[in-house]
Amino acid sequence: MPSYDCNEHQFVENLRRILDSKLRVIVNRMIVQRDDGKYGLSHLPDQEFKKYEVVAYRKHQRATVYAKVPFYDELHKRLYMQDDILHSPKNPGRYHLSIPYVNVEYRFTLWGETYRHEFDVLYEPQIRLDRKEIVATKSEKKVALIHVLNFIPPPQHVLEIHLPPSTIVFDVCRLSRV
Amino acid sequence: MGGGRKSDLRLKSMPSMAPLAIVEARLLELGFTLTSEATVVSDNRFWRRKLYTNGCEVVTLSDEIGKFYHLKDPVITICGKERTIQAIRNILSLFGDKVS
Repeated sequence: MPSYDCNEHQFVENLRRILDSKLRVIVNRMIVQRDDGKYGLSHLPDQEFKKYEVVAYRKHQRATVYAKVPFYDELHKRLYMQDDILHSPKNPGRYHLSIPYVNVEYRFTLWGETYRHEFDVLYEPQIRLDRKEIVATKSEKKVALIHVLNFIPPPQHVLEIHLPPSTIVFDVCRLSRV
Repeated sequence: MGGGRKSDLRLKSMPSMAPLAIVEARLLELGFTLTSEATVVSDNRFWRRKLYTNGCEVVTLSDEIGKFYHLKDPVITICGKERTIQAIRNILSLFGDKVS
């Protein structure tokens, strides 16, 4: 069975054509949260990188990203010191502050052919100043005011392609072929 | 304008050469409000996706961000009434976009 990848415009217009021809269609939707290192700070375009500029700096897009100030990554429970490497495109696995995302896939099958549209929605960064207990030496802990980076999941309605009620949307978690 | 039956909703997607700010201004005139925004990655490209709602009508504006080729290709996706689709179509036609 052939499967075709579509962009948003193509996918929605294909669905519209089906609905205009009075056919009913079932659309499968798969939403999965991931944090697998697919997106790092050096990948981001400048407009998106600005959200991290309080704690990170880089020369340009796809350049190595460094910590501007010491900060604590609350999601991954990791402390970065000033000038630590946060993401290096040449060596992505080693130093990597990964950006979590939600992978969304829509697909429908018509006359044996599958049409799919897939996109990732990035978590939004939230940076605040907060008191954190830091291990200074093996026996000593001290409380310091430090930048804390957290990631906020995107709202549910941004993950959806809004479709008319004549379309039936089924949520699924895995596709398997028998 | 936001009231009415859900069954009246139609689906339409339009790529556009028009600045999205013009479309956003028209949506506000029509009674839509910005509900949420998110950064989306699709086709290996980054997009800023804005969601406008008016009752049961939803309009999504996806604007490409970052380094792109000489032409951007914003996408407007509407799940709304025929008159909303027509209003957006009229705005786009002012900028030479021919929407079927």
